[in-house]
Amino acid sequence: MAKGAFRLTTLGIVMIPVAVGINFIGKQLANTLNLPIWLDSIGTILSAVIAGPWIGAISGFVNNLFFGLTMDGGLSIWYGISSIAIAMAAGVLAALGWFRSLPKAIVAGIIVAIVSAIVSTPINVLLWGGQTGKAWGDLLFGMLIGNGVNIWLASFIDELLLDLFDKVVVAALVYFIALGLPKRLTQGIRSAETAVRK
Amino acid sequence: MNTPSLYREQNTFFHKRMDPLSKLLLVCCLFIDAFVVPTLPGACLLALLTVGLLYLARELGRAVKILAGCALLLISIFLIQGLFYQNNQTVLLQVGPLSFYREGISYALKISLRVITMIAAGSLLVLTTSPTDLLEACVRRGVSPRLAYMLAAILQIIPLMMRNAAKIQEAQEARGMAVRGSLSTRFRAFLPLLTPLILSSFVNIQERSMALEVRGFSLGGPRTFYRSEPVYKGMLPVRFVLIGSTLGILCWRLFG
Repeated sequence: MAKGAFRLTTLGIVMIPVAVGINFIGKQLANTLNLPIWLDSIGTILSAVIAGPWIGAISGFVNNLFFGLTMDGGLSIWYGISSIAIAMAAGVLAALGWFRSLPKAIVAGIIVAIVSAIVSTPINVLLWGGQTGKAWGDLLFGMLIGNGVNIWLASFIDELLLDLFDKVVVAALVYFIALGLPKRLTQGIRSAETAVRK
Repeated sequence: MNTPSLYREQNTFFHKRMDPLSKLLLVCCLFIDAFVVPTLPGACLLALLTVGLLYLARELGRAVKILAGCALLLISIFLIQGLFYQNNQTVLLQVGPLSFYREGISYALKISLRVITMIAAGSLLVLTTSPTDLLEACVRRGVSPRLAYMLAAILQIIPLMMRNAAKIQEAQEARGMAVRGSLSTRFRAFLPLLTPLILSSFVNIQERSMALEVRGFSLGGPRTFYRSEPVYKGMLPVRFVLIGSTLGILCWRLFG
């Protein structure tokens, strides 16, 4: 946050670690409940939806920076770009009213998944030669390149398949959670968005 | 209190006598090296060197655990690239109806050596550096204290939220919520577990921000530090060697 770029209110800054915590807990819960998807971007998308794309993007960036620096030896940092893109997309969609009803939120989830897949594919190709590390997606990837499909396209389809399922569920969850939050709380945070002043 | 950090105190060169920023530089250099190192033996040597550094830091065992998380992916890279890599020509190995090709296997080897080098390098930093030391060193060199606060706060918030999550799960189970069973049951359990947690965390946000505000968090001006800066000797030559060797590998790639 260079001087003069933009400043956040304290409320916005305090919200970001909580968003990262929610991401982490979401991932843990998905593990304990044995769910077949990651659910590790709930906090990022929730903060983007209720506090705007900027706070969401910082949450996403800080999330990956943190887990790269403390848990997985730096791998997450590469995907920080995807997190930022996901938050930006979700924040802009929310501002346009795409999180106001469940069907709309699901469509928003699909758009976020497509954005995420577009941004993640180059990282997958660069790091892993195109795979995502989830068996059912990679099986398809292998079959596609075996049949002469371009690596980039195959990798994109692999990633999109996984992202579609994950992000649609996350978008629906975020819709229900945002609905359940009392107005008194969200109002204060929404003013943190206008406080991202130039 | 258990934090999500993997750092553990030990008495080795990397834990005690190398400063966090030099370690950060080491990791960055190894990341660049991993991408630019030109030949397969070179990549192999680099991976061995990085793993050797981990051995010197007495953290090889735990680093292997981090690497094991990617083992399945690495194996599947060998399978998929060995079978389907686009430039496959020479058959290396025939197993029943499947044929593994030399080109695909060497491509997979290249990717895995690069990934192993990067994870090992990252682990070296993560396992030997306390996150608070690293953040403090960064803030001293001009990283925004706000960014540092966000990262440091996560370290405290995650254990707190984990405890709350466990409490909520017990409370909901006491009310008869099923957390085991079919996939749809488990999916339905997700929301009643997560919503109370998020709600209580949001109440906390307001309290925290007021507490910080009262202490002048949003005031400008230079920050002072609670601890005095630790002194590390002989780090300048180490940094020169790191940058020099990376430039050397870069030249090897460009002109070799």
